[in-house]
Amino acid sequence: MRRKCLLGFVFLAIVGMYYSFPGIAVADDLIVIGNRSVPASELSPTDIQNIYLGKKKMWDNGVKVEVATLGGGELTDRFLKAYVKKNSSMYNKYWKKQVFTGGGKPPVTFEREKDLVEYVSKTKGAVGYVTSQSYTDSVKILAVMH
Amino acid sequence: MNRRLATLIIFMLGMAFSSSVQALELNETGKVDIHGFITQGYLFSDDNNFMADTEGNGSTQFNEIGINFSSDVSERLRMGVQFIARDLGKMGNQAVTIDWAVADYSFYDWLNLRAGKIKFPHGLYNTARDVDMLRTFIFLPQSVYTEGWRDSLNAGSGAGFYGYVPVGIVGSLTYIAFGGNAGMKDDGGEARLLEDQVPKELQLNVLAMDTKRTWGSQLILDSAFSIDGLKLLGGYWGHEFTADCSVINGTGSPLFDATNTLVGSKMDTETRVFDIKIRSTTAALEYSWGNLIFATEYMQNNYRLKLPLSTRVLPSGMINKDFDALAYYGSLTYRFTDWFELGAYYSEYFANKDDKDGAESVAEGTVKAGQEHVKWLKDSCVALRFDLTPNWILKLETHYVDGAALMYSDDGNIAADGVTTTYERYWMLYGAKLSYSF
Repeated sequence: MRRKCLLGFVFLAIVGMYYSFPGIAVADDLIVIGNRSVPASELSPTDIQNIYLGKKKMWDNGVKVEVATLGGGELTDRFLKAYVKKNSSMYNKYWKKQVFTGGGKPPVTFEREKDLVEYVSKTKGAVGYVTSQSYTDSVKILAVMH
Repeated sequence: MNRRLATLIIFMLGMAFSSSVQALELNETGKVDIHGFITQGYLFSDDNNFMADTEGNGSTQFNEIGINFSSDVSERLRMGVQFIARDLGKMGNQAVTIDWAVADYSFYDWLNLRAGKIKFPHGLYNTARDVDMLRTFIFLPQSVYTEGWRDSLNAGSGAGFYGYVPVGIVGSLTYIAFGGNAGMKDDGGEARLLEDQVPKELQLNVLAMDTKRTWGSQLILDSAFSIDGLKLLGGYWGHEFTADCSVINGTGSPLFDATNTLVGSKMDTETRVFDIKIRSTTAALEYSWGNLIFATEYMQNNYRLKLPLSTRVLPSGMINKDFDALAYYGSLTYRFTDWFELGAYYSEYFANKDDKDGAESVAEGTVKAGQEHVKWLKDSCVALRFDLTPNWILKLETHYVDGAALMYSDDGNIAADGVTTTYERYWMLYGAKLSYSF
């Protein structure tokens, strides 16, 4: 009996830790959005990585890719780790390097998801990420292929 | 433009924009992004003068000021320019120069054209060598990134292609190709290193440097073999240049008079143009795992020097030299918190891989006995980086060095006789640097 109680306690603790870990909840809630002009309806993780590293510059229809990010925070950390394979510090250094060596323009950064959605909706070729609660039909959801 | 005035303008622009949140970024096509940085360092060594008058009281002749302007001119064309004023001992002297100026046109993700003064593809970190805030260390490992070659390795004027090609599970492949011309000055680091290649008594003086051609190429594989954070790099570049030099003999009597007529008798008068060809091969690996970054690079440079001087003037070993220099290092950095990072590296350089102990150079007369250590540089470095704010960074660094290759005699490394080059074999270098960027 004691053993079953102990196992049950351990099980509940693991389940509790799982659901109390904010990143996992956020990751489930994260969506990638794009301007209506973006020809793609889905992106691979490699596509997202190349977009956020400035390597993919043009969509297939010739429209320029405009990248938007959220400044810091758990959602950004999760997004960068999941798709760009860098932490925030390394990602910021990567773009500082581009900026100071003529390598390209850094993503446009927003503090509020609402502002990012508005930018994506109004900017041709724009792509960004937000939680699903911030989604509006002014933008399109880009499904992530795994 | 007056140099001091230009420097001041850049400084004022930098300070003016420093009061803004980060930088002026108007990210719509046609608008201009402005970014900049200012650094000030201090160097101190217990023996030998490293790049400046560092021995004794140390030197503050170690700073950079840079500002760049860039804009998306159209959907496919991006243009930008960065001005820089830097000082490191006798190099730079805060003259404002163009660090890079580029027009970048994108045809496809796999085909982009660049033209202008372009950052030169060399190793993992060369393109960012002037940007202090991007690395943990004050000095990149000198074996691969010697300050003496900064002018010619930093950027070249010309054109090139680059692009990105996904290659499945093998990774994401980036290629870079450049052809053009690298700038070298007659009083620049390369010229001073050349002057140090012959015994100081001959007082070789470089009058002019002329780059014939420069090219560079790199293949970079990111997420190599589906391992996140693993980067592999292979690079090959070449420099070909000539140096017009004058030489006087050991007693101080010029071999040529003012009309360029031979008045001495120890020199071949056919020509005084030195011909130098360099080919460099680099292999590198970088692995990022969380806040840990490991990097290692291996570089071999082949030098072909044609020094058209009589063997009565130069030791025979200096005529028509063909040798390989060898360089490699391993570095480790770890970011403990948002504000603190620790790094260490060990770096080795051998001026001639077939004469690592300098014995051959002593035998041929190009190095004096007891100064064999001018043929190598073994550097152990530990660095601390403090991110005081997102914009302000303080670095502290110490080096324990064995050897004196890649250093300059005219930085004050001359014996009491005023002629003989002399270096201590073992010495310490300490550095501190404060930088601001926006």
